[in-house]
Amino acid sequence: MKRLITILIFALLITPFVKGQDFLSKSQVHGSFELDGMYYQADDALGITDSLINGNVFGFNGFADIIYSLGNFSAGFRYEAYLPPIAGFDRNLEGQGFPYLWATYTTEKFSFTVGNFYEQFGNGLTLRTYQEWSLGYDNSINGARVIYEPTRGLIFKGVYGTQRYFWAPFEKNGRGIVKGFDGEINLNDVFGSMADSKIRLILGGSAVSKYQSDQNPMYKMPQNVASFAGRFNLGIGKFNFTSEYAYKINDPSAVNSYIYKPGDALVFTGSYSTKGLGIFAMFKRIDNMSYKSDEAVLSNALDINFLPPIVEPHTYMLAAMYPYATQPNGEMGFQLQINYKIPKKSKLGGKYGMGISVNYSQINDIAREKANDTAYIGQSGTMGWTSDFFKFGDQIFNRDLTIEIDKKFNRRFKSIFKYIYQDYNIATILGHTGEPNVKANIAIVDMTWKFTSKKSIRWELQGLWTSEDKGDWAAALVEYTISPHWFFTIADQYNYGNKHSYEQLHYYTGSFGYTLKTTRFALTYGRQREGVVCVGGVCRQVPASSGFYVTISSSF
Amino acid sequence: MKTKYIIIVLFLFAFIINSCDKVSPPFVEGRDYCSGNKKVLLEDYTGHGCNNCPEAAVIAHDLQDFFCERVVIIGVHAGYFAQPYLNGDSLLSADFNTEAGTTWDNYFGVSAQGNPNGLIDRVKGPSGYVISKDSWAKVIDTLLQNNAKAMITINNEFNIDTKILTTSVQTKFTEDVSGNYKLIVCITQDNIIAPQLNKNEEIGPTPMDINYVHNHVLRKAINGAWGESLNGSGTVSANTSYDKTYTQEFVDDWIPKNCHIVAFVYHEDTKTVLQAEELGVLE
Amino acid sequence: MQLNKKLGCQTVYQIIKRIKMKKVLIFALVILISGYISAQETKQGAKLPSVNVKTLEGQTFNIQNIDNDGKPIIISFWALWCKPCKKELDAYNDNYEDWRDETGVKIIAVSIDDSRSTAKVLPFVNGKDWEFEVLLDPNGDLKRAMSVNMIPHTFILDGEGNIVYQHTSYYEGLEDEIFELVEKVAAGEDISGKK
Repeated sequence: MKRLITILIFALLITPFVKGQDFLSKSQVHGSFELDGMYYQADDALGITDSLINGNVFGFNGFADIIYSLGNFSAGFRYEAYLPPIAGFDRNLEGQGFPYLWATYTTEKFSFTVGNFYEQFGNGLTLRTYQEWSLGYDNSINGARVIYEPTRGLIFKGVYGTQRYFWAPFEKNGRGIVKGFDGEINLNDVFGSMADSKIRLILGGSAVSKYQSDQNPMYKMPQNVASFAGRFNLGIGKFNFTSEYAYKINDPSAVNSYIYKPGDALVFTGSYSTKGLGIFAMFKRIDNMSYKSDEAVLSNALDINFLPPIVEPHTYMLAAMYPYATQPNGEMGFQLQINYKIPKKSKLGGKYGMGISVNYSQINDIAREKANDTAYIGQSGTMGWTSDFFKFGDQIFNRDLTIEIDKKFNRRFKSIFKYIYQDYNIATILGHTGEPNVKANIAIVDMTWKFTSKKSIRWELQGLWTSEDKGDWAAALVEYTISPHWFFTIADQYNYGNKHSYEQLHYYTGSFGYTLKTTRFALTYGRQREGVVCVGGVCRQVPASSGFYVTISSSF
Repeated sequence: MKTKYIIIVLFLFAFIINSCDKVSPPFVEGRDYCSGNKKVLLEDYTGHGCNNCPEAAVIAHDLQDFFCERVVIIGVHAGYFAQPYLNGDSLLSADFNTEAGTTWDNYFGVSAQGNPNGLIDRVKGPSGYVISKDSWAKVIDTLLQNNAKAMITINNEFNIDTKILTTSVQTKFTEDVSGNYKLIVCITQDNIIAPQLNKNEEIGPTPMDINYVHNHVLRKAINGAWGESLNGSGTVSANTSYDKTYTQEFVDDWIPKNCHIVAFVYHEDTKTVLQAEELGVLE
Repeated sequence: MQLNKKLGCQTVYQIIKRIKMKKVLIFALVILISGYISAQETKQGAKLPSVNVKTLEGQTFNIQNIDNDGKPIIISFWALWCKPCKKELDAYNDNYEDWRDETGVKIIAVSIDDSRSTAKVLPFVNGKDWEFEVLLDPNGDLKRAMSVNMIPHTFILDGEGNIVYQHTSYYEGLEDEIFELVEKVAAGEDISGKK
């Protein structure tokens, strides 16, 4: 409460200063806010007899983020409120306060931040703190950060602090302290002889360490756990290669069931691109790389690093039915993608050209062997397992092939055609133990017709065909937009192929919205599918819901 | 300029030297917990549809050994994964839900956060009451450092002919305390064989162990979900005793030799458990 | 499923009754103060913050160093997973040659894709044959510093580097309106008063 009053007084004090004309020319205030509210209703068909979800009839998530800057100095805060959190968000978010408060001083070579901040080293394999409002994810570090650029092409960063854990303040002997250091050198900038070279090379390295006192009575915990990584980014003409290798020393924790083996990860990408053609390949391997600042936490919080998933993210309704999530204890996979634009005026390309994109990705488990004869693989209090670096495990976690064609027929009419084949390990990823992999064929047609210069109508037809899990689905969506302000949408997902006739339901939604410059208002009414969310071995049911959803967002 | 780089490198070196705690086996600590009169209540919220829960049951049992039997376990079947006929599966027809278990689950919001999850002495930490299985050891260890502020003695008499159990519970406070203290007396049952979804091959068959052995299953809170008040309100002086006697008729499924009486005393406002005790029905 | 006609009034009343009033008031107060402060801001133009971003080849540079010789600049935030963003940029790409000839405008597209997709942006952009400059903001540093919340979010900067216009969302035909504004900015008109 004290903190809140201080902030409000600060905000009120700025106002007269901001009004003054001479300050005005140099200082700026800007920010953004969003309010999301959901009001639940009973729905007999979904089996919701009560309008309450987790004892509440509504959920409300909101934030306001303000940044004040004056010359080299800037400061800001974010206020968040979850009163209570909307269904699907972690219940620990309930509450309100100022979880993000910071001040930064920047000069040409030097930047110093105190308070909460977000930072990424390389690809994030050793450290990445970020925020994702739509997921309720925020692992900001509260402490200090220094960025030093002694010369162009050379950057050093140092961080120190503790991470956010919902609303819990930091306590001694609670969660850990994170320290990190990163250096990056752009050889083309630093060495004048290389300035005009056809070869572009950037090297980087990072070292991160977390300290947490041993409060675990059962296991001997290492109090300082370090993680190191080295990376490069090499460009030769039209080719570009990046790679990062990370190594973490013994880090027994709840996520890996307290095993003592070190962890490592390798990410490698290569691409070739020229006008109209892009080819991309990626290889990734992760072995025991969960790195959190508290050994006992299983939920989606307190991660120090970030393990990027290797799949193509899908956004269409049915394509996103079986989403993949990185398995931090071990996975190995690759991805290939080709983007090609068939040139304009050619036979197939037509007047505007035609874009084709093909993407294939596959992720398997790593191959694990017993660490010694007496312990089973993954047994707590042992070395866990050994794994051959270049060997793929037998289990497929996810595999998908995506083919997308987008074509503009004429000034008014364009369309996207998409086909996806997915092989999804629902047992491992969603915790449906015993169920076989879901093999699904998904087809999507998305067409837009612009019938006046301001009005257009877009429709989508989708189908998902599988003999596993819930069976076949069909979906349709129609969206009518009036530029620059209005949109109206109706959509329906119909589970017509479900083997239980009482579950052959329509999940319909209707929404409309209004946008004025940077302010957007949208109201949706409808049904949302239920789900089971499993994070770190704890599964929680996200109830199906029916009701109104409002969102208002703005930037200024 | 060169000196700056040297300083940075030295700093990095010092940082690295200081950050590597490599632990060598044995990895498990060996400590003696056998002296101490405080016992801790561990409630394991579970369900037969929860495939991660057998691991939690194993951890609870291991902790009982590790802490020299100073942990009293209740397995509360409540919430989504404990529903009978979950997902229409006829093998999951068992119903271990109880009125008390469901009341506690709703009040403390355990299953809402997922299963498996637990409560330890119903203490409330910065993130609430719910404690995940990997933090159980840490929390129990901290609580066991305290001296018991009350001692519970249970006396059971079971009449085989009438199938009526008479249980006498004596709560004796060893220190001065203030507040309204209430006593809850429950029946738990071991060795119930019923299907359980399971994900860990090392514990049993996957995906379902048809002959899973459920232990510490809460059957009933004899004196109600929130129990009976001992002192009413105000302060209790050291050495004050309260005696309560209850009778309960056993239904067919409750096999006396596998059943225990679990009694615990708690503060009405904070809900924190002061002391817990357990005794077999036929002992 | 029939909609309850009485729902509207009843719902709003019930919602207000159940929300904890104190907390909502504090929140509203913060919004009001922020809004009030922002209203003061319209007198002068905001400039780009001092934030590092990366080129498609991985080189780091400060966004404040972008320069277009006194001509307008369009900065648009997008991501590989954002369909309306890609549509907006396709629309800009179709017109880019003409716009450049008429006004000298420079378009910079900032991708906020995180490290799972950062390396894919270069081949994607080339495969699409986009003519404008693309920058990477993998941890959202520039996005945060410019208070970008939802994408697509597009800014227009005048010849002096002041932000004179911004909008979120993309609807078909919006590019025509954007170009009208760019023409005005190139001609030296002040469009920021239109807030």
